[in-house]
Amino acid sequence: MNFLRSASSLALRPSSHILTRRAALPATSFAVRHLSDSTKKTIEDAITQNKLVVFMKGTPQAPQCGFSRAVMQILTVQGVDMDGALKSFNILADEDLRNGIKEYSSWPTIPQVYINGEFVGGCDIMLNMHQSGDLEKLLLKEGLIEPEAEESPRA
Amino acid sequence: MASQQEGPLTTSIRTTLTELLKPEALEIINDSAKHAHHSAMRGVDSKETHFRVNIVSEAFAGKSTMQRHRLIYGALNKDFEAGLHALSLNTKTPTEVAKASEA
Repeated sequence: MNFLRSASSLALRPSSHILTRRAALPATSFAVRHLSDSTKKTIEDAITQNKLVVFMKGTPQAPQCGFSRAVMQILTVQGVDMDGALKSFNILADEDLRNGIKEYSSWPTIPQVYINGEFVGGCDIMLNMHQSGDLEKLLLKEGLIEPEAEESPRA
Repeated sequence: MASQQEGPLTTSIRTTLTELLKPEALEIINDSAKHAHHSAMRGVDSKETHFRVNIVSEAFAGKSTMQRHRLIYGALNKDFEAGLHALSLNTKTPTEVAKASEA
């Protein structure tokens, strides 16, 4: 999947009009440098050491936003081990992380899902991939869910 | 409830996306009232924070969902700085819409 690979390189090459705006505006949002070295390390350690990381509002047990809740519901329906396989960060409890992850992913909204170190997307993309079957394929490939016996002759 | 009159952020989003994508269809739905209670919105008075956008444009042809969303997020950077908080995007090409209605 090409777009999974392209996420990190895109983050380094913002389009020219964003660059212009960065220069022109005061520090108010994700487009401006919030990302400290320590926050960057927290993010990089999290996404390299865990197959599935979700940056969300609230916790998997008590999401504080409908979009974060929807992502938890999708992962639950897919059969992900929500206690063992999922690493989540409550960005409401960490302002540095909240701003840092937006800049790191070059993506202005929360939740954000990382699988095997790659930015997969937010709620809309997770929902689209869930409906198309692409999410199941990806989760299977990364060993985050077990194949269902009747649907997978190779199992 | 969202007022009938379009707010400045809605107008800004509409103008930007119309120029960028020359859409065949563009629907912007203000969902802010549904999210006004949630914790991240504490202290925020704006009535324009959460939107759903349904957009049909030939400009999406050959692009993944991720690329389509990045295109829009990049263009709306100034609106995120102005208080836009969440966008739920439905991005289709005219061909995809035609296919979906056949099915």
